[in-house]
Amino acid sequence: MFYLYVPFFLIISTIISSSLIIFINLLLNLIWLTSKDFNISAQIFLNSLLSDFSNGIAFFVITLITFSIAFIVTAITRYFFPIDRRVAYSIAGFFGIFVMLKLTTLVFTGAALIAGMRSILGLLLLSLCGMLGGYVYGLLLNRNIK
Amino acid sequence: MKEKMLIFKKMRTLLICFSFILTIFNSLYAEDNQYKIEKIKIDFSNPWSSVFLPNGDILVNELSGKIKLIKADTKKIIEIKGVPKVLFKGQGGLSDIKLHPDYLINKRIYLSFSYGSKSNNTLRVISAELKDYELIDKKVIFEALPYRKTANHYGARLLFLEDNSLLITSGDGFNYRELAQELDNHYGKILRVKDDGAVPSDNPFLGIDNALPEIWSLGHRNQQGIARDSKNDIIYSHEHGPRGGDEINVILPGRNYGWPAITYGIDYNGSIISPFTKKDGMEQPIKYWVPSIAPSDMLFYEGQSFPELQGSLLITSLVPGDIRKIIIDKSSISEEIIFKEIKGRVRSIKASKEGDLIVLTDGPKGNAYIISK
Repeated sequence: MFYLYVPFFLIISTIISSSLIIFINLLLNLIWLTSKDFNISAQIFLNSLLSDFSNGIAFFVITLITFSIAFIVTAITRYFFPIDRRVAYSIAGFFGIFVMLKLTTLVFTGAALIAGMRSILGLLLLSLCGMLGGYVYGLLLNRNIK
Repeated sequence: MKEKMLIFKKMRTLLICFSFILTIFNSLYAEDNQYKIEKIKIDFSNPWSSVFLPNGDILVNELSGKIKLIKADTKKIIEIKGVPKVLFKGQGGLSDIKLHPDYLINKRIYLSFSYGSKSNNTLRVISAELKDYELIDKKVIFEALPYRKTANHYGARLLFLEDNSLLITSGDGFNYRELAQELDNHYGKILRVKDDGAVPSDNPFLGIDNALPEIWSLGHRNQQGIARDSKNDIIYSHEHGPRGGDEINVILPGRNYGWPAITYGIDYNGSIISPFTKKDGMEQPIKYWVPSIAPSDMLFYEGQSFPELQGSLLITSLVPGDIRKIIIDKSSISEEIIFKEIKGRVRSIKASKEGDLIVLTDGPKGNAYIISK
């Protein structure tokens, strides 16, 4: 019965991570615009955020695929090295997103399809979003495994 | 039995002959015989640009790094020797080709191409003399700075002005879009140099601190079309938007065209690049497309062969793949798809002095079509 919940946990952690990735991506764009004397009102910010969420299916799908692979690999690894789930899936989330972002640039001859990853800070922040998703996934598993 | 076979063979030969004649007529003559479209029989490897020589021969640039000459009379293909080594990766490779305005005297041609390695490259422009189907006396006249780590968005179109200075479109390198708003680099700019690469003394940012002197205009994305209306002295350029937001702009020196601070497009992943489409001090396009048509080349038609096209912009598009006639009126801009017989991703369109056209289609097995009356 417990295993029926696993896809549900995966989707929850994906929603958390992809939403954060969208938020940070937008934030980095708007910070640059502010530096160019654009006035970002609360209304503009909220409208932009809503627009990004409504168009964010690509982020969700990519994160879902990334987490699916990363978490399966982690589950197998944990069979041999049974470290705490929260730690293991946090690391998996971090490196999953990091590797996914790097792979996209390899496929597209250096082009970063998620603009937020172009700086080291951006890449780190987006990977941390993955880490948080992984942590939530590990936490949910821990709570539901007797 | 033998007789039957003979009749069958004769009928088959007749049928083949008939279908052959029909095919030729279909491919050469468009509806109502208004014009003739001739497909060059060989495939080109990612043809990107072309130019008519004064004797009617045509030079075709292949992105992979070859220049092929199509003889005007026989349509025989001759490969030009001495072509510089190019970086053929991503969107990079051998790009535009132009004749010097005094080509009849100096025989010099100009080439733009990506140069360097996959992770450290740039847009380079050279001039060379074309002699006996070989490029000699090659001189680098421009190199975009700084070098980039991506192999995308080079721009790379060339246009000579009346004073023999050369406009070069330089794209934003994809990952460096914000640099299109800074004057200390060549990303996302239109640049102007003399025919020997020197900086003209009347360039708009010359003498300004931290500004590169070649800059003519800024705030561009990936400009793959630039053309001049010589009668009214207007320069037009078009650029690829991201997802939506392809633009045609009237280019004036010293102006800022806004990318990526203002745009009508969104990022490929669906996120907003900028919520703004207008700002004081930034130019508005005279036309934009949402969704994108991926404009790939442009010419301002001033030839005689097609009077109905005179005074209009002809734009090629990669998506869905067509040739568009754009008429710019004082109060409106109209758009019409022409030469519909040519299918696929259309990469380039150029005109001869008389007004005959050459159209290139994109891809590893691209084609060249000559359109004439």
